[in-house]
Amino acid sequence: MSASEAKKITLKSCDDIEFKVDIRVASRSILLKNMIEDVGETDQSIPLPNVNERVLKKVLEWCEHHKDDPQPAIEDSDTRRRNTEIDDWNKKFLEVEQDMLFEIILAANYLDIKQLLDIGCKTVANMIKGKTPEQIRETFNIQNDFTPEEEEQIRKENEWAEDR
Amino acid sequence: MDANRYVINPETGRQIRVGGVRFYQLIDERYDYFNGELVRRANAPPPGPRHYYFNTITHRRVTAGGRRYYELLNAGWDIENDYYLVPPEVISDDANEAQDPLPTHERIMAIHGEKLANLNITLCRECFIAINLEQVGKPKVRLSSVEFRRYVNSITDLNTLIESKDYLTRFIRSEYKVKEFADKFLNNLETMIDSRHQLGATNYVPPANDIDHIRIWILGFINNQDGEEMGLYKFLQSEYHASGINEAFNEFYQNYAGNVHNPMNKNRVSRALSALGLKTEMKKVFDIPELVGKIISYLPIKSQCTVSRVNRTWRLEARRQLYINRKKIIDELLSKQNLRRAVDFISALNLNKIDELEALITDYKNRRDDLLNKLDLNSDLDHSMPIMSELKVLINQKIMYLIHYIIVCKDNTFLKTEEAKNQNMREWEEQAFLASSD
Repeated sequence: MSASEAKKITLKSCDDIEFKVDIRVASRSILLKNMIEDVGETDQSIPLPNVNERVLKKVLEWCEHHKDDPQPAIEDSDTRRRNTEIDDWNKKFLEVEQDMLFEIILAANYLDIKQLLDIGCKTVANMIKGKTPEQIRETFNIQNDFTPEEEEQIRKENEWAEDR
Repeated sequence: MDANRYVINPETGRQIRVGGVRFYQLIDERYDYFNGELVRRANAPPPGPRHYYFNTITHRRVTAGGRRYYELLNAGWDIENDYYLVPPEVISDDANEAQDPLPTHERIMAIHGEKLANLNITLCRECFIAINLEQVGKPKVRLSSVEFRRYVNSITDLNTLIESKDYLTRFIRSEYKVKEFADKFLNNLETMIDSRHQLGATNYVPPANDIDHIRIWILGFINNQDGEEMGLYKFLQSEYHASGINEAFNEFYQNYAGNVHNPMNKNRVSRALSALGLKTEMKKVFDIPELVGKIISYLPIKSQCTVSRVNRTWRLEARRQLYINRKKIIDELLSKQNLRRAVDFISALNLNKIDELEALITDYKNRRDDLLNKLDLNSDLDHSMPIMSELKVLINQKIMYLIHYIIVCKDNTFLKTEEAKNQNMREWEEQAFLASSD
């Protein structure tokens, strides 16, 4: 293990819990990576006001597991869209309650961890597939803000996709 | 010979390769490539907020909405081309520029460097503040007032207060830089502690409101200052006194930075809030259109149409995804000879069907040309020839089919009734299909 690998930084969740992590693990997050590069190594803890202890622990578990993965290249957007498969480890990792899943997605978005954000969004997309709009609203507690006339208009707009 | 062509990315001002990843990303999302330029589409979503600006003096990036950013704007700096932060002298007085050049570190040091060196002084490269060379390399530990506030709030009993005496006095001394004032503070604090001790001998436990009283008295020492932190507390008191912070941290910070004259950076605000025990709200995934769009992008086309009926945000994002994938969708529908559905789809997105079909023809032609090139280059690959030739025929058929259909669309504009238009379209659809099959 090289010297740089052993270096650690301290992250502080919004509920004031500190986590000492390897710089290599923290660098899965582009936000933290840039911060470390800009500020340099520091003994002071880095506060993460949008992430609580429970979620940060989970995110760091993901980063630890994927610390040796290559950084994702810029993918062709079309390829990305078609590929909705999630590998077994990630699938198991995201077998959590819905609230937790959403918090992980928000944390991945905030910390700029593209791969974690991708698998989180794929998991939600898989939950949506095959559901009616009503079922989606019910599952995710979403308010319907359409008038009946608008709903009818949108239904007509989408007729081209019926029984494709 | 370099066959690459380049174009200026209007968002960054940098050159990008025509046909490169970034180029196609821009074309997909919001630009048209027209006359060798990238032209923003009228129906493209408005550009997102810029995250960084470029300081033309220091050549460093400045975070949008950050403390430095507001400092510069308040000092009269302007933003040019939505990217460059330019000092007021450059904008206001072009004519005098040549006579009165901007003071740079190098220019000042060239003129005054020797004199400053004799005085054992140098200047900061960025803000030109004089620095005593004896202090360089020995940074003074600055005690944070946020930490001070957190520390004071954590004092719950007399013993902790006694243990904290030294820290509190050090902070007051570092904050006010007057030893006599710090001594006076310590005397008053000790008098208070002694008076509490005398009340109940050794095991005296002061009531909570008594400790609160001392804490408020101590905090009064920093509240008297009109510093950056004071701005935050005043802002909290005026805007969030009744309801608390019921928004995400980023939103809170935007509001704060927009309302306060000299805002602190995000890090300090975050620490100050947690020192006060205040928490911002977490945003929900479906409140962020970007994330809704990302989730929808992983859905199959039919599901994208279904989710467009969930609510307005979902509709907008679903339509955006359909728009991005429009060529693929039209192509797929045409492959199943669903010309009518392809047209319905184009109409549902409020696009011009002739433009879209013509764009598709261009795509097919490019694909055919690529195929022909491959056939030329790989003439030795005999086994692939029949497949390639079949593909070429298929593409030709599609082109013919589309050309016929465009003629129908153009011709239809002369017909007056809907019925006549539909009749005409059906007839031409059949003819076009037959023609392409020949």
